[in-house]
Amino acid sequence: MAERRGAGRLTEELAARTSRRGLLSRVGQALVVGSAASLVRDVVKPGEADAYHFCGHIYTTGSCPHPTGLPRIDARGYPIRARDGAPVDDLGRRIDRRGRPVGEDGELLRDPEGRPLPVATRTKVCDATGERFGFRPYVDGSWYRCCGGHVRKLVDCCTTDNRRINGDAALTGYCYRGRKVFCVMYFQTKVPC
Amino acid sequence: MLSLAAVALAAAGLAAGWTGTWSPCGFSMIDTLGPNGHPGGRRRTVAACAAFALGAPLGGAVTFGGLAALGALAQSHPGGDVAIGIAVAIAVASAALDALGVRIAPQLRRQVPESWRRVLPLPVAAFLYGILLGLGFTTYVLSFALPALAAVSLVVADVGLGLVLGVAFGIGRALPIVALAPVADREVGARALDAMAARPGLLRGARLIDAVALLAVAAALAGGTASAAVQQVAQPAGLPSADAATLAWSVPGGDGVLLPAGGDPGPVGGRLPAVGGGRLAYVAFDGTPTVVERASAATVAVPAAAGADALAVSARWLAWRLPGPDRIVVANLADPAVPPRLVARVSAPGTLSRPALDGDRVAWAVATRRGSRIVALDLATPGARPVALRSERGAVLAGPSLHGGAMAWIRVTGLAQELRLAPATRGRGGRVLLRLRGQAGRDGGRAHGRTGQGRRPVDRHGPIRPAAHRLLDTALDERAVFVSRMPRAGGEPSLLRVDR
Repeated sequence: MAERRGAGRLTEELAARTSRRGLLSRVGQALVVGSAASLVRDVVKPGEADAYHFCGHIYTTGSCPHPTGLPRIDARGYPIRARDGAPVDDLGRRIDRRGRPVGEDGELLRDPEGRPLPVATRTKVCDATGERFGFRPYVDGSWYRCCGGHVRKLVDCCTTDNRRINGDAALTGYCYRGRKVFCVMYFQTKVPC
Repeated sequence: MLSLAAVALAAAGLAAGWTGTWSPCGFSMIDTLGPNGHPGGRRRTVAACAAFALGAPLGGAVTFGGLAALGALAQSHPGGDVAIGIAVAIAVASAALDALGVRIAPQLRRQVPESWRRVLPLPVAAFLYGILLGLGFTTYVLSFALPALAAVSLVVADVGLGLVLGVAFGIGRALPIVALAPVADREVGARALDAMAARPGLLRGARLIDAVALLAVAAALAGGTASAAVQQVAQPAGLPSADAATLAWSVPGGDGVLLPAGGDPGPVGGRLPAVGGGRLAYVAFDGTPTVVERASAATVAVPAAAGADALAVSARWLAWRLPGPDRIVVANLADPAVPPRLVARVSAPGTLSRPALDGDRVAWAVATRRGSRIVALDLATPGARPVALRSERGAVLAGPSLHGGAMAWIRVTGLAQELRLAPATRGRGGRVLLRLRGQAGRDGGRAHGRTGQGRRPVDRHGPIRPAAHRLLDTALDERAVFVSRMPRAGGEPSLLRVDR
């Protein structure tokens, strides 16, 4: 509605400043420009997709299994916690650089005798998905969108199978060489947008 | 060893299968496999009966094992109190119906294919008939025990129990047929068949037996739930150790505690106590590991174990862990001249659990960034190599303890912490005695303000909080499993007792 009011004001100003023929010509040009803008607007979708379970994801394929829920990964595909980007192991525990579980304060988690708690595996999210669902995983292409003021990379975990994690038919998505999307993940950059 | 529930389910399965003999297919089998049912004589009857006896347990295992597996897949907390309560209610209700002799409704008015006995070699047909009758729901049902046991399998969701029940049901199906078919052409066989056909009291009696067996199942399941009650034993307490109803535990930064059978808890005189084989081991306050023969109070210092941060003891062996990097060393208490033996070592950040001893067997858990496993070694066999009893990626297996051929341990995944119990042999799984939420929690699988479409099924109920406690170490004796736990938010560790 705001756009229409703006266009109305523009035509009134044009009418006040020009002759009738000139007015029609300029109105015609404005309509053409408006139609083109509308066409472009239809082609170029919004950078943020609001209808799905996390920002940037624009179709119905489900998340890859992730130790803490939302399928946030680091640049190498390992699981990190969605809320703060902290690295986590396969049990979802925050870990230090050596893979040892740490508390929210970053201190090692210890047993009553002061020994560190046992370490666990840390598996790339797509690899863990392949292990769990029995397929050879591929991370093919990706796409970037603006989410929450920062650029987010949307990553597909691809399979040669025709089924996706939802249990129905898989889509091509960003996968290639005939592979299709099994499930989705994302990598959050610090690039503002 | 089979649990009480397994024995009760097996008995009920046997009885329910036996009652199925009164179905049209049961009678048909006796006549078909018997010497008068074919031209092949008694030898073919024997072969056909053997084939039938193989097929029926197989069919039973498929039905009841499959239902249990299905239940395990469908339930988020299989074997929980609610599930057991439902199973008990089903068993009691069906027992009442069978005891009253209520007519079966709705009835399955179907029969196995008659043509098989004509178009297939008799043993092959008998094997296939056995499978179909073992499946249970392919023909007339003669007792409420069958659907009740199927429902119990689904609800209890223990594949092991389901298989035991299924095999027993198949044996129950096969036994009367295998017993009667070879003599069907003789007087004794004819009399038996006549009695089955002409005396309704026999079927009534069989259904009464089914009812009693179902009540036994209900009692065993209900008793199993009650015995799994969890009870806090001590606080502060960690590193539990048990031996013949004697319990010892460690108090962080203080003297260990020994709780003799029927006695009062008292100080050990050192840290990190462990009991086993009638002995007590601890680290004296001067740092020297010490072993005490509990009956005679004879004390032996083991300076070779200096630096140990965990101990285990049996009648013949002392095992200890050394930190940085973690190593497990074992000494022969019966022959102090033999130098201690290094049995395990792992590089940091990998860790080894406290060792566990049971007779000549030592076990420990290894956790590395490549996976986790529980390993056992027979110390009495020269040249024996460690055997991985359990191994898993994506989970931490921790705190194993051994007793009388059984093993308790903790399994931690992203979703749960479980106290498990199983025979101390290579295999998978184990009975879950206690289950807590995972150590980390989950965020619900969707971003704030977005739809739930696409999140994982585990996240459908929203965020999951981490468990309030972390399970750490176990101890095992004849009747109970002990597990230490530590509050996530910090505080004193405590010791729980969970009946086996």
